[in-house]
Amino acid sequence: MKSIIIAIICFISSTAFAQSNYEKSMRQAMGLWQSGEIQKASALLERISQAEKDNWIPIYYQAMILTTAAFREKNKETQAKYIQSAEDILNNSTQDNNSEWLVLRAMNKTALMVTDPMTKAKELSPTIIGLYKKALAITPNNPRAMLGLAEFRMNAKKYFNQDSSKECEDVKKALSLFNEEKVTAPFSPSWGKDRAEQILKECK
Amino acid sequence: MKLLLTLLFLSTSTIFAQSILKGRVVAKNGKPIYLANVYIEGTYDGSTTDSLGNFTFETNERGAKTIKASVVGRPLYSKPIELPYKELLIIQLQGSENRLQEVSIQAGALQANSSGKNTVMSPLDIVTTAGSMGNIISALSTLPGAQVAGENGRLMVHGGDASETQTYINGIRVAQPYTATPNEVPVRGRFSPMLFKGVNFSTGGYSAEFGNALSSILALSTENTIEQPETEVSLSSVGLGLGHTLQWGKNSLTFNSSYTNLKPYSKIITPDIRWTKPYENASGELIYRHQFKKGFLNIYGAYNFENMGLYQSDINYEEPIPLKKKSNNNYANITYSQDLGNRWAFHSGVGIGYLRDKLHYSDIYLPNDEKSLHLKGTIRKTWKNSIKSIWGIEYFDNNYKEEYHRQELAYSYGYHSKMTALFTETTFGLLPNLIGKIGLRGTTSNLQSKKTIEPRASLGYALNKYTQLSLAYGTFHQQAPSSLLKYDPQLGWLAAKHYIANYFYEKSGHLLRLEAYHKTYDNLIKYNSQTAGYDSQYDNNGNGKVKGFDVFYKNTGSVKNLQYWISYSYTDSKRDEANYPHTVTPSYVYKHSLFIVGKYWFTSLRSQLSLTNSIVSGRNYNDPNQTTFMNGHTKGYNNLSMSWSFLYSQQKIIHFSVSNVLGASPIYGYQYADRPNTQDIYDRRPIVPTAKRFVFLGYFWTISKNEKNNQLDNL
Repeated sequence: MKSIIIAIICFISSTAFAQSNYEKSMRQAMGLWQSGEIQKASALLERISQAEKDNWIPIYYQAMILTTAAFREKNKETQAKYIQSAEDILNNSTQDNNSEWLVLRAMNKTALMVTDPMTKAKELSPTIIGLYKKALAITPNNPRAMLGLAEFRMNAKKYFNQDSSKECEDVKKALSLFNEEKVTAPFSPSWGKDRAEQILKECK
Repeated sequence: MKLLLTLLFLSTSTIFAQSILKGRVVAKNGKPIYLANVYIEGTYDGSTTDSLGNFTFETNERGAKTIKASVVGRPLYSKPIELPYKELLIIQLQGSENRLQEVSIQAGALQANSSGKNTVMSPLDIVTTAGSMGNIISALSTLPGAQVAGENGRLMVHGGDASETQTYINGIRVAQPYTATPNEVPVRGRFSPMLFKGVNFSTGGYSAEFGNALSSILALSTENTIEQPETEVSLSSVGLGLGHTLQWGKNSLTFNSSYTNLKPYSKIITPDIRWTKPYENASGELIYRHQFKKGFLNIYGAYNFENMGLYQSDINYEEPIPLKKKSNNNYANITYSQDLGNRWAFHSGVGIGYLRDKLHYSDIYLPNDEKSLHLKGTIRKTWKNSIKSIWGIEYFDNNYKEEYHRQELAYSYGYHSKMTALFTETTFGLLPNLIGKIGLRGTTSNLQSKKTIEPRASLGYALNKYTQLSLAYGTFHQQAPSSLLKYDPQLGWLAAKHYIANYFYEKSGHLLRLEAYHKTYDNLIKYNSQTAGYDSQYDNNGNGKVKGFDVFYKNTGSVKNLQYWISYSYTDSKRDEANYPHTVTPSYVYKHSLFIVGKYWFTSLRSQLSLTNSIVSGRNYNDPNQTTFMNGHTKGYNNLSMSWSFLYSQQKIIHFSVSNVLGASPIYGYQYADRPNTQDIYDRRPIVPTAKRFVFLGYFWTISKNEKNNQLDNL
């Protein structure tokens, strides 16, 4: 009887172990990201993604971490390295029809654009808008694509002191989509609600 | 129960027997590598190295596995390992991958591309540089090694004259890259700068792919992508323009047309010119692009019609001479490129040009026409170890005819040149930080009896990530310029040799480029008359030498929203050519030229202010009243230009620019009378700019579905 119990427990714990290895590592990576350990988080996600070859989520987060880090990085060289590394990941993929992936590509291009808007905006802004539009065409209810596009347009309009009430409507719509959004797989992208709320405050 | 739990723990820990893997990651020179990512392939087991290169992690894996280590910018490390591994694992990483694009040959190369690296300016810089007025050639003149003569607007490089530069679009030659103007009115480049994504301007030592130019190549390239639909409208103080792009499927069609008329303008700006027909220009460009599965087709066409009439001063005549000029310039260029797979690529192209000029000068009527054809095919291969090769064949056909009519007198002359060239070039990595390029070009022509063989070689060495040294050598030949070849088609090849050394540094917004060169000329054209004419005697007995250096510094972003560059060129040119009795510095060369260009973006005003200040030293001129040849020197001058661009909205822009703000009155040289006057003195007339200032005000509007962020490209 004891041996049976042990066998069962062992079986359970080993499946639980296998199950949690991904979750544990992902959680660890998120923890490293939150504490600002960009490179370590990125390295860990790289390890996870090569162990989970069919799962796009770890590598999505790797590109995400590098891209968001680029926005904050002050050192031009490190910044360029982050953008380039993320771009290499985003280019080298079969995810071209993944709406979330396209949103991230648009963010990566935006990070590149803001390094030198004077020379890069002209060429990159149509590309960025194009990526958001494609993301929306694939998944019309992707709140991140809707928010991203609205925010990008809003920034341009703000600059020209133009009315951005249409974009505010889009953000409102995105927010309601955020509220309806259900997480389908663990760690699948679900960020953006806070940002939408924050932008909406500025709308009023 | 406790026992059970203990047992359970014991059993799980034996089943998942963990071993510890410890080691270090170092570079080839033994230096530790920080933040290397070490892991066992296909598992979660791994770690990141600390600042001393050390790593340690636990693993449950056993048996034959693969250990991997990755660091940005280096090749992925991969090695079999037998687990558990008890010893300290030392991983030595190879240097940066030997990628050719990391080392480049900078000698003689100036790039204006949007890609960024190794680029001295972006296409946008061309239109936003004050004083350029959207003219590619003017913007290039603010770069080191280039000079533009104020009186004719043509590009001259490293002490060479204007005929020594050839212009190419997508690898296909443009026989007539300039607009037509009367004497002493500067020409413009014919092409809209923003149609081109890449401007590669060579100051010498250029690739074996190009020939028939003693000094320089200006290679413009359009982008191989389908354009987005939009409409562009412009209104300015000198004319109007309309552009439209259509896009369907894998096709796009862009047309661009503009009409310029200086009539309302000439009264204010050029009151000294007596226009009989103020300058009028209608021009258009058309680009059709088609994306095939593995190929790309680009059709480019341009037409230019110009019409003008004025009275021009000439020292040999008491009264100004009536001059009329009409010019039709058509150009088309078709290029097709295909990826053949396995890193082979095929590029081919055809260029056709037809220029017809009708010039009336006093009682002389001088019509000419030039038909040009260029066919070219190349095969490119990128080998496994980053070696790149190109092989190509090309054919140039140039048919030039001119007629001279004066009262009863009439004769015609010209040439028909048929030239075939073969070339090959290979770029290879000698060391991870050293690359070499060797090229060879052979040319044969129906006009010149000799064949030419031109070896070219260059080396690029990267001292570190930011600094590159390069050397270039090459021999170059060209036919006599058409202004002389038309009188004597038998003239032989002109020859030049280039020796160039270059230092290039680029780091976080700072770019420093130093270049020193030595150039020798042989077989330059000489003639025996005061001016080159139909009845002069010509030969190839001239020669020359140029040495000089260029300094270029560009800063972007050290002060927020400010970009500036400083460019200085020293040119010591000595030539024996034309009708010179001996070797002298020719009248078209400025010994010193300094350009300071600054652009500042006022965020609150949504405006860009751009200033260009150029200072050039004086030039030589020949005074026939003096016994020493070419003994006169003009004074140097300073020219300040400014422009102001205001972004009214994403799609609307207002642009204002003024040249020669300070109102300098430069003298480019003098025209002396052909014969002395009654006191036995040769009279002279200064050659000065036709207009003291040029003022331009324009409004540009883009109607686009794609919401371009700004409209600066249409200036």
